[in-house]
Amino acid sequence: MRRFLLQSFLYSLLFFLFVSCKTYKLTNVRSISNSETTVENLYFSSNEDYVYKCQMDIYNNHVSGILIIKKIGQTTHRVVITSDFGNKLIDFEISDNDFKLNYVLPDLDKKLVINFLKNDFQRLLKREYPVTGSFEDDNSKIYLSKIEDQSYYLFYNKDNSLLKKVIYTKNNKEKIDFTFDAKKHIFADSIDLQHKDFNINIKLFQITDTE
Amino acid sequence: MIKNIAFGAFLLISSFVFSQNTSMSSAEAKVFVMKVSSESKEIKTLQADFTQTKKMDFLDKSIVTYGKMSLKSPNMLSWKYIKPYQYSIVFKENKIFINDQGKKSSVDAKSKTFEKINKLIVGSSNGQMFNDPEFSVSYFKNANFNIAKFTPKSAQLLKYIKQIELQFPKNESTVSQVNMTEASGDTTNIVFKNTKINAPISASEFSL
Repeated sequence: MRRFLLQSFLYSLLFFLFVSCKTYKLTNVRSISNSETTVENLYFSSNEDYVYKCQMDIYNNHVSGILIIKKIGQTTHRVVITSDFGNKLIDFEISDNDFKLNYVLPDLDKKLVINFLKNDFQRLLKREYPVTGSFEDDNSKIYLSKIEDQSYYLFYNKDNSLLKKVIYTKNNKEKIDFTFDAKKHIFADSIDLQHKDFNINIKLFQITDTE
Repeated sequence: MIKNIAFGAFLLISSFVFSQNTSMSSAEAKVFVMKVSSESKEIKTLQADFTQTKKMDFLDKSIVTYGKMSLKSPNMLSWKYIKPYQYSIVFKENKIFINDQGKKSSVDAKSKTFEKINKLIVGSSNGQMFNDPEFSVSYFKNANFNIAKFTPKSAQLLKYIKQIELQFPKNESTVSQVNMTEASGDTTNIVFKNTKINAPISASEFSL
């Protein structure tokens, strides 16, 4: 069964690699003068524990668990995913340029899985973005951050200046959408991570503030 | 002199605090296992509230979840997290049903891992667990509890779990506390409260 799933997953992966996804372009926006040199995603910047209930849909497989994120250095985070019963599935330390795997459940010890998580979390936890363009629409201020062939579009709510969305593109193709729901700038209540090139969705709901 | 007295007192106190658990003799262990096994055969249903506490060395706070478990002999088990999120898992007729905050799914429980999980959970409630060939068991006691410590025998299972400790209140044959130590050293502690034995359970408890 697992072998079959893995196989169909790999085939779909290959399929999608050949089918290019659509080019991303901002629509209905106005260019504005550039007032910021860098913008930040502060949702994981505090030294407090961040604990989320985590639901992942990977093609037709539903995976559930608890996600724990903790800032352990200036640019490094510790990330742990456990099952709902509390046993550890994966544990790693991650920064913009580094990745150290502390533990992975033998069943999940696949390069494909680990690389996926590494890429997603490197982007989710990325804090600083040098600004290369500024735009606005009716609701948001939008900053473009171009780093080589990768571009990030960061949408900040005009009313409360909270980051509500990051769109990550590579070679102008939309790759991942991150949507945040927050009341304060250092803590997101829920996060929705949607892959545009693969049928993978990750939903996070905070359970930090419950004790 | 005072130093010596203080040191003696310290030793005395620390022996109260730290060496409460003493090994059972093999005769004591035999009696304990027999009692739990025979009494738990009489258990047709079991219900309890639980508090699960997960500790990890790098976290400031423990992760605490609350829920309810129901068990109906021979092989129906429902494990429901209620706070801070809703997640239910039901083992029934070799199938596993999951309700994750409204999202429902089911898995065939025929896979080896699930079989082991099921056996472990059901086995711990009916005393069969003491005979599980996967584990070696050692027995301890203190003033309030009898304690059984399970250590996996195979390297394969040791990759997942280092030790499971079950605590039985003296004179009771149901578990009041489970302490699990993972291969990584993290611990999960589950405390059962409001345990009801052989009280009727409605069938809806096992459907999601």
